Amino acid sequence: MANSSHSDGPDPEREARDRSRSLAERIAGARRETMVAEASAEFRQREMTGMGRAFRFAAEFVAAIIVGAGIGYGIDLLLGTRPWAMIVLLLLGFAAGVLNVMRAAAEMNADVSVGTASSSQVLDDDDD
Amino acid sequence: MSEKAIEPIHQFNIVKYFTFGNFGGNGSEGSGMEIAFTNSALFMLLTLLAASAFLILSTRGRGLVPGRMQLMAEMVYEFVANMVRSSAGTEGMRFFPFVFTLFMFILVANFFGMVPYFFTVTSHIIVTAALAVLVFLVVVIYGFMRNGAKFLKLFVPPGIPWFIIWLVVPIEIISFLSRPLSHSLRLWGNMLAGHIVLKVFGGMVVALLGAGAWGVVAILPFGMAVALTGLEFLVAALQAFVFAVLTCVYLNDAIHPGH
Amino acid sequence: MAGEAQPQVVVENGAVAQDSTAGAQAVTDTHATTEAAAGGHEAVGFPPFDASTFGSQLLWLAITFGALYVIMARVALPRIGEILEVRQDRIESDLAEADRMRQRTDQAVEAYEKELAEARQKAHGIAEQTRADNSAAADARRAEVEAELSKQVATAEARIQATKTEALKNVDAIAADTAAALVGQIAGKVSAAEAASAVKKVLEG
Repeated sequence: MANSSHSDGPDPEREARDRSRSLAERIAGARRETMVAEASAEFRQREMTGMGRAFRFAAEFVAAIIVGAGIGYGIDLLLGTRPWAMIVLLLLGFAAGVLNVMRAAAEMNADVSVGTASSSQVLDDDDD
Repeated sequence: MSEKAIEPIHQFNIVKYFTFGNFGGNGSEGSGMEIAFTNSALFMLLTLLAASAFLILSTRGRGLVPGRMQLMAEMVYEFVANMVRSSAGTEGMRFFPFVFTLFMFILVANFFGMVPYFFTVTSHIIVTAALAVLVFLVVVIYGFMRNGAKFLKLFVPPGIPWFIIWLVVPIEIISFLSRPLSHSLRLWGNMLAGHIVLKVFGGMVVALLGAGAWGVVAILPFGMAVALTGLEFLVAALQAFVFAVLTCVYLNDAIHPGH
Repeated sequence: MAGEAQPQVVVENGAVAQDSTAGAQAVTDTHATTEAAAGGHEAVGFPPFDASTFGSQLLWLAITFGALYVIMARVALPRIGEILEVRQDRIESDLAEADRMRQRTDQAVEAYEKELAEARQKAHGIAEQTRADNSAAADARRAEVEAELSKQVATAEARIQATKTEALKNVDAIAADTAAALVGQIAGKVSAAEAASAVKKVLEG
């Protein structure tokens, strides 16, 4: 009789403590869960840009050259300096295209870190 | 009749349902703008209706515990909100309805385009260009409204020696002006190319099936068409996403022109 | 708006190009496709470059996009935002409540453990005390008994000593008597005094 009551003693105690701990974990988990889901969804979306990446570089590059050439063409038309402004601005457009592509590449690389950074940022925001 | 050759392009034709009349111009034939209700307009209206109906009907119950549709609407909302906040900061959130509308419009229009025989609104450069120019104007106008002349700092990168600045500033200006072009080219090109490729493979399936014994080979382009259709759904969503993200990035320049 | 104006200019230039103005001719060069599409009207050329459709597309885009913006900004987004906010508040408060409950549970468990430890401590103390008490009582008892015993032993020893002394005293007397008797047997009468002094001499010598 005395023995059984002794062994019964610590069991519900430990059980209560375990349950309390798992509850604490679940409470902390529930707070984070939604944000993590969002962040990971965004991250995945950003990761998938494989083919679109090539298209983006092309568009950035071509757009700058077209704009450069177009402005040069306009200046030539206005000032009658054909073809010099167009040549100069085509070169500038080429440079701008390279700049665009470099920026797009840097942006894409940053996006990966932004994806992780933004998740922590979101956590911070909600703590406030 | 070279109908076979035109076929991949045929899907982009604008069909007039009825005409309102001719506006502008000098009254002579071919001048001015003919305003009509076309298939493009029909699908823009469908896009408007579908997007509005989805977001309004799904949230009608205002359920504390969301149903499937409400959950989807909420996810899109939070997805775009996160995108705006992480790319353009908290101040960028004042453009959240704008970015959300862009994203929703392009997304729904792209998905409508995936339905066979449906018209793809975003496969016309005038549409994507108009949206890109709209973003460009919002960026420029808000940039000057908020920062005044300081907005021009955008074209002068910090830490550049004075003798190169005369070269760098025009390059930066061209780069800035090229944004609406690349912004619209990317969306348009992706949608156009995707639909042409799909149509080509689809056409090959039909042609091979019609060629008697060669019909067995039709399985190859058919498999390709199926795979490409899956890919195109991805591209449709991704391009809406990329368009919205770049809008946020450009808006960020209007809010923080000093980089 | 600017986007709407631009293609209009292009088309006008394309139309004016028929009058072969030098400037407009140049514009037509870059927009050759546009002109071709405009000239052919239906299903010829590349539809996305058919400038004659730009006006309608832009108009309808402006109408539908504008309407969508108004619906999103005025109705849909505030509603979803409100739903999310209400839910977020609810979740936050529920979680706070759950956390509070958990802390209370922890406190209860802690208090219980403390009480248990105290009870154990107390029980241990009582046992210890009892043991100490018991041993003290036993010690006292033993000491008492021992003292009693040693007292008895002491009295007994004293009595023995007394008896011994008495006995020894008697022994002297008996020895003298015996000696007198012996001497009397052997050498006649000996006075008691002589016998006693002789015995004494022997005893001393």
